[in-house]
Amino acid sequence: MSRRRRIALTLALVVAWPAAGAQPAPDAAEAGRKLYVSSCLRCHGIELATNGIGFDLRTFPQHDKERFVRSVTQGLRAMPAWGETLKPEQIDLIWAYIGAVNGWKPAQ
Amino acid sequence: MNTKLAHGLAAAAMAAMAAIASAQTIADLRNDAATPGDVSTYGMGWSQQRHSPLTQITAANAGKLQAVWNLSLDNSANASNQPLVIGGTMYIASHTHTIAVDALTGRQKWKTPIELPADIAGYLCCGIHTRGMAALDGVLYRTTIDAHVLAISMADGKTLWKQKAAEYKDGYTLTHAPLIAGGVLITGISGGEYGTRGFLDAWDLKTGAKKWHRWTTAAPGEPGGDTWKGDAYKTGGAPTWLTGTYDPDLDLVYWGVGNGGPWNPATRGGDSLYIGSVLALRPSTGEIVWHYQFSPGDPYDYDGTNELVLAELPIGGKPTKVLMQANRNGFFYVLDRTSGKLLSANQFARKVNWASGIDMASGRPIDTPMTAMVRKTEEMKDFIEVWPSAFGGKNWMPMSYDPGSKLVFLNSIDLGMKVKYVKQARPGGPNWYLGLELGGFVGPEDGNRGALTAWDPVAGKPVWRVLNKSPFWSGVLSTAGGVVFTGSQSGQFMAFDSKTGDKVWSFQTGSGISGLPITWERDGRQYVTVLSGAATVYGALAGDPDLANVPAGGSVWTFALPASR
Repeated sequence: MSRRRRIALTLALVVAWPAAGAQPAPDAAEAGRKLYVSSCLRCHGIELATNGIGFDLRTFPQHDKERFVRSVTQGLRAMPAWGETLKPEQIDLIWAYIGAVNGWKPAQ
Repeated sequence: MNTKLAHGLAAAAMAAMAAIASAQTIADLRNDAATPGDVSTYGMGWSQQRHSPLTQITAANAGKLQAVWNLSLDNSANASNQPLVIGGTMYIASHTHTIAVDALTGRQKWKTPIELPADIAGYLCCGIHTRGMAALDGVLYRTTIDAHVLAISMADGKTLWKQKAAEYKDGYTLTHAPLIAGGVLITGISGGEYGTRGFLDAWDLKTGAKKWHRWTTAAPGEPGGDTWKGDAYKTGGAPTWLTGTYDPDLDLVYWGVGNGGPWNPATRGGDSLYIGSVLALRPSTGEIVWHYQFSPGDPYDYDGTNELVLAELPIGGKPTKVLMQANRNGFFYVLDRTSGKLLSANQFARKVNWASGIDMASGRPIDTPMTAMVRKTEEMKDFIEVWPSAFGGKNWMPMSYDPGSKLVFLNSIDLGMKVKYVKQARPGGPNWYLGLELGGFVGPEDGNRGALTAWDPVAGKPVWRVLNKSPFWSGVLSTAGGVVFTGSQSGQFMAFDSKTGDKVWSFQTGSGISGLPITWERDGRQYVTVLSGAATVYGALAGDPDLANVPAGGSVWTFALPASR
């Protein structure tokens, strides 16, 4: 529950992503969570907890978003290149989800 | 080059190859289990018993086993390949290469790369695997993770033919060993988490021309076509992602069929044939002679793909040709393989809460109220806890069967999962299509998430269990010397006394073990070979604290008793 509260707190501080359709925009971290579950979870674990295939995103530095975007887009070692599948805006949403799980304070 | 010319050249090259290669024939494949000088089939015999008649290494002397050589595979995928040993050369496949090695020294003879698209790993549900190869008349046959089938010259690694089985961008991949049976090469397909439609293919051994194609979901108007809701069969899963077995006397191939797509059973409706089933097929035509569905509707990703080991067991006092499967759903099945009749189904997983048993008259599971609810609830608010989890009571890592003691040795898993079913549109691309959310995995109260189990398939009960904190994710090998070999996810390669389960030897390799051990002999010395290197879906998802700090990195290890001087 404490993690959920933390996510909720972070959600409140993250600018919601404007969705393409007429639907109201979902919170960025929740939208990112959905993308993560479909595309990332099988290697990076449930709520980022993994000992396996993927990099442990619980240890990813908050200040290095550029490296995150590059690895996701181009691939790295066992990580496939997602550049043709995920749009930059979607990678931003996943970044927001990772930040929510890790309890990052929003950058000023 | 046009296709006909390519096929002609390939056929000519292969005829020349066959003349110079050692006389490795269909008879050799048929006798593989009884001829320990070579390992020429996936499973160490068409019956996939993974049992060797070799007796030099025993439970008494296994403690003296030593490493003979180690070879780097230069990658960080699952090193889950079962090597072949033919005429003193060992053949190993990784997702990026095919490799020939001098079996005695570990020196590499040739190594041929495979070009793969940069985004391919996104289409693999459960880690990168290349589990095995087939071989005949100087030719190796393998699959690639971007869903191609290759014939390769054993002499120099050159590609003789290459065929595309399916489009990986549609969610199709290939990770298993082909099967040579009935004069053709048979391959299945992976992709059950991507809304694909499963199938089996047969290829001409010489030219690669497609001989037949068999969809594994039933379309409207076909037998079983009414077990699907609307067009659900078109994206209904039913992948065929592990290698089948072959009975040459009955001329039947037994091939397991996997989960439904999506996992959410209410989205698909009904039994969804042939998900969660075994198909008995005529290899020359692909005709389905009989089928048996282990998990109708398969609400929990229990698949039916686990290895289908063939044996002769005394059933009711009568020697009976059987097929055995330790199914992911937690029950150990024994079927009469001439007819598909269910002979027994006993719980081998330590905890099962989705079914209270298997009804012997109908062959169907007896649903618990939870499963009855899941079958009709496409969308639910709360998570439920299901045992076994989607990892199953046993996953793909194959068991062995000792025809002497008539015991099976298998690596079982004891985990539950929290899951909540949701409506989901098929997302396409490298994205999972499950129709549910995974909330996490739950360990048993005693903390032992796995066991190496000796199982009596006639009595339907365990003889001994070696409990372990993290389940072993490696194949099992047994020998007439009374030794059982397997590996741990923390990297130990181990020998156990097959009578007692006592651990008699272990060796720490450089990564977790997801490989399939083999044993073979050359010049009077018995060797044991296994690949080390794990990047498993269990490690990714299970949140197992005992597997933190196990590095990736594939390599090949070969062991033997000290050479006599």
